[in-house]
Amino acid sequence: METKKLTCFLLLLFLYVCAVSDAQAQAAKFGKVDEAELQMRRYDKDTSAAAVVLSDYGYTRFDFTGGLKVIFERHVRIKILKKSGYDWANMEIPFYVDGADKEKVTTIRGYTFNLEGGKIEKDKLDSKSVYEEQRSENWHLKKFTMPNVKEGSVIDVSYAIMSDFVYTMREWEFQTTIPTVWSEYRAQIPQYFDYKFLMQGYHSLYKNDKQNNGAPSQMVNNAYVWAMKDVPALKEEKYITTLRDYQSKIEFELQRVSFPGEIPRTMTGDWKDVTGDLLMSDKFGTQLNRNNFFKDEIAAVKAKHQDPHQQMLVIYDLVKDRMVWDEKYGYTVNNPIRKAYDLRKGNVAEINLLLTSMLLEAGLDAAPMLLSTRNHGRVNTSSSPMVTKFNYVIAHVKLGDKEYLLDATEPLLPAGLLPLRCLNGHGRLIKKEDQRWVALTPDKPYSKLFNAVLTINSQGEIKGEARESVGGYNALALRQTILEEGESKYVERLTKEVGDYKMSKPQIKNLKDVSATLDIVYDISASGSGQENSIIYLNPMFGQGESENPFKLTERIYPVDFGAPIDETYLCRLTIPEGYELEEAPKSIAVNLPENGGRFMYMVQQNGNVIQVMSKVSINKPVFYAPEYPYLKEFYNQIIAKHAEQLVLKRTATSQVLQK
Amino acid sequence: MCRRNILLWLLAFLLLATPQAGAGGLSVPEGLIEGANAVIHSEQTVFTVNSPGSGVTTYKVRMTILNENGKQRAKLYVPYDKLSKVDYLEGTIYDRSGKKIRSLKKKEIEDISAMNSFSLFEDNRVKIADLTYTMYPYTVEFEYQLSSNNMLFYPVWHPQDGEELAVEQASFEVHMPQGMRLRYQEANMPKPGKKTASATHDIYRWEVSNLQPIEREPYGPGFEELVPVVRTAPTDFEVEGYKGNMESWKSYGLWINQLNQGRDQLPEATKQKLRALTADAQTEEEKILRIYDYLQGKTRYVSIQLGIGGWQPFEASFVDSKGYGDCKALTNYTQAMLKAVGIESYHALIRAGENEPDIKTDFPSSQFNHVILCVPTEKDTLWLECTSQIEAAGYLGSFTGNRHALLITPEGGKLVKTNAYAAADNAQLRSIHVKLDEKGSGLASVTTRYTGMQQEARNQVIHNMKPEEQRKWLYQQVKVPSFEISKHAFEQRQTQLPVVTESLELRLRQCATISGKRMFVTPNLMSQWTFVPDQKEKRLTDVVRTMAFLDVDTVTFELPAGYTVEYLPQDARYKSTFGEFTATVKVEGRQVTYIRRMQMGKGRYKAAAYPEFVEFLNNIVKSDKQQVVFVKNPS
Repeated sequence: METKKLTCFLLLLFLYVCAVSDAQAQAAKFGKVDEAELQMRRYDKDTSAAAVVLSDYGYTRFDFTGGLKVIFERHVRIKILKKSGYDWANMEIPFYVDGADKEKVTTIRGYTFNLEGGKIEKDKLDSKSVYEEQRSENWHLKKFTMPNVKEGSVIDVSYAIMSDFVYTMREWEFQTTIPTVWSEYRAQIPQYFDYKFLMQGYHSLYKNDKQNNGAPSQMVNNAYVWAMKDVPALKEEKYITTLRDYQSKIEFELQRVSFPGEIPRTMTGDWKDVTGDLLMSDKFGTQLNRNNFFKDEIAAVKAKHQDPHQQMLVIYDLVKDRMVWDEKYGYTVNNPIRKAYDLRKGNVAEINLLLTSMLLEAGLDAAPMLLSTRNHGRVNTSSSPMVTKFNYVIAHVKLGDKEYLLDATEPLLPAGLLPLRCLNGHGRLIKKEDQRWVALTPDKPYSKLFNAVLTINSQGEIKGEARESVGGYNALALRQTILEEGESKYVERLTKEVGDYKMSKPQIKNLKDVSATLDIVYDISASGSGQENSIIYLNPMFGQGESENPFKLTERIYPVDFGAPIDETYLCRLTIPEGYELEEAPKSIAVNLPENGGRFMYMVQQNGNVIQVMSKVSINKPVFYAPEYPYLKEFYNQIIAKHAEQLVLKRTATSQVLQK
Repeated sequence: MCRRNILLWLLAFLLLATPQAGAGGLSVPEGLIEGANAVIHSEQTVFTVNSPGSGVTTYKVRMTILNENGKQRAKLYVPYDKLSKVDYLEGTIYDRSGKKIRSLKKKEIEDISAMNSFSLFEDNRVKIADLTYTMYPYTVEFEYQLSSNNMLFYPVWHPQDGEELAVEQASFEVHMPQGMRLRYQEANMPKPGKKTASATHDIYRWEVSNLQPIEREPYGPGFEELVPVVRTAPTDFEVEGYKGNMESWKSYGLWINQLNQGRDQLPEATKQKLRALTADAQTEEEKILRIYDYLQGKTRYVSIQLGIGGWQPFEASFVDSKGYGDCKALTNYTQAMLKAVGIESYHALIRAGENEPDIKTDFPSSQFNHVILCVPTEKDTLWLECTSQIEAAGYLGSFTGNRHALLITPEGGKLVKTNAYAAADNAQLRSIHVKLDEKGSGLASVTTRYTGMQQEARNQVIHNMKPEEQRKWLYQQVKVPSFEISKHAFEQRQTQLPVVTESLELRLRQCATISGKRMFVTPNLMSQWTFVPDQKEKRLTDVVRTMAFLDVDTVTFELPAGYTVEYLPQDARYKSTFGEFTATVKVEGRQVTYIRRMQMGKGRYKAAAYPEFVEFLNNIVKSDKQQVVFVKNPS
């Protein structure tokens, strides 16, 4: 559903982008600044900005002289307004190297301009001050800092990247975490390359032009210009997938290459071809056939369990027990699964392709499924297949008409529950005879049940027992915490007095049985006032209530994405002392979010000398769009207000007489 | 499935409990590994000094990883840089029965940049050998040799360098060429080291055996204080041609002088400019403040560390022309500027950082990570943090306050102590006025004055965040159930004890809870203490508190008409070794006045005082939750 919304939005953007062709004022000239740019003290459209991108020009062309190369040139001009913007003078240029194929950064040039006593001063970037760092196997960086940066400085930087990767065009980001006045990207694309352009973000193009040049007899270069004007800064918020999903940028997808005299080659093709290619690939599909080394193991499983569902569970546990995840992502293997099996560890692909392969060996209807994690960004299901959009693979199993999604990288996950990082839109099933998108909906919520049975006496002393049962993603997180800390230490930590309440004798149940809820049982006590009270005030949530709104800000730009639904239930049976009556109690209420998005129920009931309190908070869907934000905020306000309310117990008149 | 799982875990548990049978066929003394995630069977570190300028470390370890929580120890990190080289690095892994699984392959060794995230460029790199495995327990062996041409540092030996680690046997040797003297300091060593000699070398040897896991406790002393440590340091040393002697702080300071020599030259034009800038300053202090202000406006912190450049500053003229440098370079530049206007000052080497343990003052050696500038004035000493564009002149705070620093004077090094901050210096003085309406909602105006260490966070927020981000940050800071910030403002006074005054206007939703005819008011609106540390049955180590502070809240509520007090909390007054707390609440007509004062000291207290500490904090938690109850008058 998320994806659908985004798609509509993208379409809208394209419609909106009519041909605005009035060109922005003269393009900035490298090394020459306007005095006005230096005199500028603040950026009027965002007076709080620490720095502003005054202009950012990018230009990509293809060079055929001496072997085909892609040349990318960039010239960026940044105004530093405040000391907190100094970091914008530290530059990093990433470039990619893969064996003999590489990107090469050339002609890095830079100037810092300052206005000193009415005169423009110009400091050059010293080429000796450019350092090179290897960040990872393939990614390298050029790093440098600009000289003499002060409040008010303008910095001008330009460079070019010559690339051997002729089938890849760099994406262009129109937006960054400071405001951008003008961002323009030009591309000269030879007719041989058929690219599809993918726009993303919440801002529209100011300029979108295309021209053909070259006489009909020659090669035609298609010249494109895309530009944005006055783009606001990108802002971080809580409960989002990744900021990159909201950034305004353009990406390029090579559809077809047709060199003269050659048969046109489809580069992305359709999902059918991509699926076929993936299944033939050494680092993906063929791994599924390498099954000799575990044949006996699977045969043993099959001999012991006849039920396919049971077989699936046993094989899932087998892989989880054997393999440890090295915390590396990717949908392709680095080592063959055989090697990973021997090493007992591997990346996501090694572990989950091993799992898929074993499930297939057992005769189950299993296949790998590609997905993109929340940090990696959303996948657009309507664009042509681009495998680089994915960074993860899981196993998909079909048993009868039921489908299961399995990820064996987290030992504490029960079968069918995906880690939160995977809950991001849709995954793509890579299966010859069944090609489709599968929604990555959370199978279980964050669930918690608190159940207490308590007794209070006339001095306000409380005694009783409580049981907390956590399930779904709450259980996963808590199991991780307890196992990391050690069960005995965790128990020791629980045993303490905070304010009036003391917890003692905690017991943890089902810690290792991940298919069950994780239960913690403990005694609760509270010391009273030490004397008879004619009135007792009591908050019936006993410290378990919500006391802070997670949504404090007044407005919100991006959707709130919890990842999974929420289900929190609180139950308490309180026995009140003889001779007391319930003088006041919070009123029962029910609050609903629009479109069945969530519900809060609160109830207090009296039955003789027993008072029953129930509070239930349900959030039924994982994603709330920005217009729904005020409801969500108000929903939590209502919960907080209700949870703050008190019970008042009063000694009855008759018992007061008796006391005397 | 459940049953199978339980069985599996049971099995794992049995294996864990009886590693005598497994653990690579080695037996471990009884009781040693209780509470351990890993056990070191044997470890040998040999540091051989070849000359004052070079040395070689060989390291060999054999250990068993007992469970998942010990697995990071199966991953070995060997740092190196431009002045050192890893000669070899090998590893092998064995299963629980002692059978070899495999050896580490060359191409498995990752070699990555180990730059600090705040640095633009450094030559620090690290080799990583990862032998983690999934079937516990398993045994790993590592062996490497590191040759170094940087003899500023001799090893500090920590055989037990973490919690939940048991050590069966470990040894440390230093081989000194005859005629070169080793300096060392032992701490918590069960037995002292021994010295022997070979034909060419003096051999110093230390050993420990059967060390049980150590567990840290909340508010406990630093880990280093709990475990055996041997610190070693050179007498004579050399780095990239710079020869020095570390026998005393004085001589170490002379070496630093050598590195700094001649790097304080400024162009004549700059000197002129500085003289003009300070010409009409009335006092010497004013001159210093103007220079510091000039520095903060002109430069910024950029860290570049290459070779000797880790200790030797950029020339003052470089910083003058480029406008950036690291701590040494900016300190050196400031010193040069002050010199140009006739003011003397000194580099001060320091171990900076919040909660960093102080240096070992009785063991002259390279123990610092930062440089600041010390400017002696007639009445006082002014400390300048030259890397910050926003810090107040003279303020040290949690980063460099209350610790020793090594002054680099022309006569050599001299230890001095930086300023400490008392409770009253680190204050949060808050006054709130709340006007409540019939529904218990209201408007609050809040003024809070933060000083010293309590203003540090806000100083950062004022300078590094936009107003809109400041407001977001404040939403996270304000702990009131339902509220909106309708206005916020900061005001700052950057004196030696800096002050931030924060004004807030809050719209409160159901600040008072109304149930039927009653109204409940929690008078401590914004400063509720909620934290109580873990309560162990028996406390073993001293209690250490590093920051003293004073919080005072004065809250007045204006109530809607028609209510009478039904319940008023008693005055609270708690006094303990750790601090003092008082809270009083009064009702006069429609006005409720609440005054709360919490003062905490800093220092080191006996372990036996821990329950008192917990009880004291819990009493505060209870008092802060107290409510005043009102009843609606019958109409």
